[in-house]
Amino acid sequence: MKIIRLWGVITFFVLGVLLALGWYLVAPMIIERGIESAGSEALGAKVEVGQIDLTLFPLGVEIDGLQVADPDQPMSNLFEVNKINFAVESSQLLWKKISIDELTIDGIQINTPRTSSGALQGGRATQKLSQEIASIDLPQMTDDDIKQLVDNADLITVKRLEKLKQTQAQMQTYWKSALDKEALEERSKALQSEFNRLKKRAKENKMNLLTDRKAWKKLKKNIDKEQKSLANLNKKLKADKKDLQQQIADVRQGPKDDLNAIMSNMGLGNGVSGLSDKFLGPQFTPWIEKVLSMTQGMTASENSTDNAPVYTTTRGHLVKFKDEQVFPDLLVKKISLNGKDTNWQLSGVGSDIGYFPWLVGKPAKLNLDIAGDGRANIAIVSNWSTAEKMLTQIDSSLADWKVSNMKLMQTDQGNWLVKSGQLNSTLKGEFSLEKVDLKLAVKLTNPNISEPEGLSGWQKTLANSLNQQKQISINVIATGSLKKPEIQIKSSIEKLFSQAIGAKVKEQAEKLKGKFSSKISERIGDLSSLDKLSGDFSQWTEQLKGNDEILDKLKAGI
Amino acid sequence: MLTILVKLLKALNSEQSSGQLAIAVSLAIILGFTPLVSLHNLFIVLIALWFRVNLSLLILSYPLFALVGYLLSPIFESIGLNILQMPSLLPLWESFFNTLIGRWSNFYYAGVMGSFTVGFLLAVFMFPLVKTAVAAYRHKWLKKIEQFKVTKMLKASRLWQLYAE
Repeated sequence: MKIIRLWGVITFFVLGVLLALGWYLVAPMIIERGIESAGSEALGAKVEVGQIDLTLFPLGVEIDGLQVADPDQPMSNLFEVNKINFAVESSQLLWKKISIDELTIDGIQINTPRTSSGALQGGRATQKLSQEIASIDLPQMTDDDIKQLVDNADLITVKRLEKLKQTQAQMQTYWKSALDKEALEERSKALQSEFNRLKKRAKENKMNLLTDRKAWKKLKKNIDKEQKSLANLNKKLKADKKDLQQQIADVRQGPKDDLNAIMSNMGLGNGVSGLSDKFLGPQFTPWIEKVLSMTQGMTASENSTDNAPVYTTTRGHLVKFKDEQVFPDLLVKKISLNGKDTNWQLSGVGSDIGYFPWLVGKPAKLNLDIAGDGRANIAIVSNWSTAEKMLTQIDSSLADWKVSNMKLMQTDQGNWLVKSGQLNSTLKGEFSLEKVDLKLAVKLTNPNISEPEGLSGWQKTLANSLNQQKQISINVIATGSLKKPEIQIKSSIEKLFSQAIGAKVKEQAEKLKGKFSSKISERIGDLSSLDKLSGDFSQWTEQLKGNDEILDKLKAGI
Repeated sequence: MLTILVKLLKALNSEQSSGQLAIAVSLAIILGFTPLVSLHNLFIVLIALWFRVNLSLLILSYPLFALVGYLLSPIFESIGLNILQMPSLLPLWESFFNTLIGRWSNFYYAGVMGSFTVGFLLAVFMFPLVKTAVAAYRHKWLKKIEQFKVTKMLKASRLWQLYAE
């Protein structure tokens, strides 16, 4: 019996050829679906590809008619690209690496109209948009909830009261010792008797004044010393009295501070703080978070040994051995971008963009210029000297850019759009794997804001106030680290939020405030006897005054 | 189900050697345990087609081992990671990774390495076992089983005739 099956060998090779041919025919479809589904999921709106062509010699890809819908205005595209073209180096492909000499993106247009809606039916698979809608809701609380909250709260008044009692006890001990009546009287008597003795001697013989001049001088010196000591005590007494009175005032203020602290913990402190974060945050911060999280994903994630770091991928753990082909898995040596519309013209170049970037050996650069009614420039340089050391610098600016239909924020009722206005903005800063320092400054001049329909109450007030503003400025500051970025937003419309929302929050908060206030009083107890704590001061002051008068008389006699 | 049984019986009762049946099971283990689209599986398919391996038994047992492989994949992942991170083997994997075959083998994925190692060892272990079992079946049980009513019914059926042709 023959060991080899001839038809099997032929079948194998025929199958191989059929599979390769099938892949060649199906690959464009797979790539198209890949771009469309991944893009749509990332953006939250339809990403569509017109046609993809593969060429084998040289190996290249051409993508025609890429349309990216605007998630906020589904009937228009965020941008549209006429043609994307690139050729892949086959020598690097043998090593499973993609090297693109030049990636050309031609015919970029923005805000182009769509014939069909670009909204994703049912939204993203991983829908998180609901978090973006900002609203103000006050909690409903029962008397038991309030009692429990107050009982568990670390009350400021209780702490202040304890501190006051401690201070008062310390002062009592100190002043009792410092103003020891017997010791003071003894010292005064000693001075008095010395004065009387010297006076008597002077009466007996005037010449004794000369003989006792040293004793007189010594007496005067002692009186001065005693008076100085009394003056110092007087000064300290006044300071102590002021301190104690301040502490008493703080204790009296305590219940109010406690009330504010508790209300603030419930998000009702002033009712209106940090509203820019709440309302503008979802609009102005996600892109910063996206940039930072993308960079986080480029670092080794776990179990790394010195020689073979382990990466977590969708196909499980991947051990990255030392690669003798010192070349990134994906490298785009040069990117050129071009596009124009009636009002503007875009040109851009990029170089050495790779994944993993530290294998490129050069910093990745991207520079975009847009010229039209206004000007825009975006410059990014990212330098990864090793997998653990990165520095990315961003310097971009936008000047005198006319905007229309720009989303400002989103509330329950819908989107707040800037229908027209002039935009000036800068984004500058840098971030490394350890430190983030990015600043975005946005200035909208003469904004015409279109609010959603059906607004009432504070939102209506806000809409009216916004439209009266000549300029709106928004500043976003990202600090902290890549793992824990801190993003702050400050805007010139914070005050408008406060004015508009304050009334509503105050009204509802007042109801809770009264209940909290009485529960806090119950826990703290009666504070009316606090004045007694400062009662001893008048006695001590009198004592010091009496001694001082005695010394004054003695001094006058000298 | 009946078709599977017929195929199995036909394979066992055929004139093919027990080795041809045993190698089919062994190859099915590797095919089933490891991700199908892998370089080594291309080699497995080549062996199966090139040499006179019993294809019916291979196709029959592949889904069974694929299911077992799917259930055991977390274990394969951790075994693979341990193997790839063994300090003594690191130079070997590194030099293998830097060959063209190594680069396309996907053995640097813990799951592929773990499932291939376990699959290969099990295949080597199962080969003599299946071979002995088939020989024992043919020697001791074949005549007895042929007397069973079910076997007679199957042999008389159109299905059997279809596969006999």
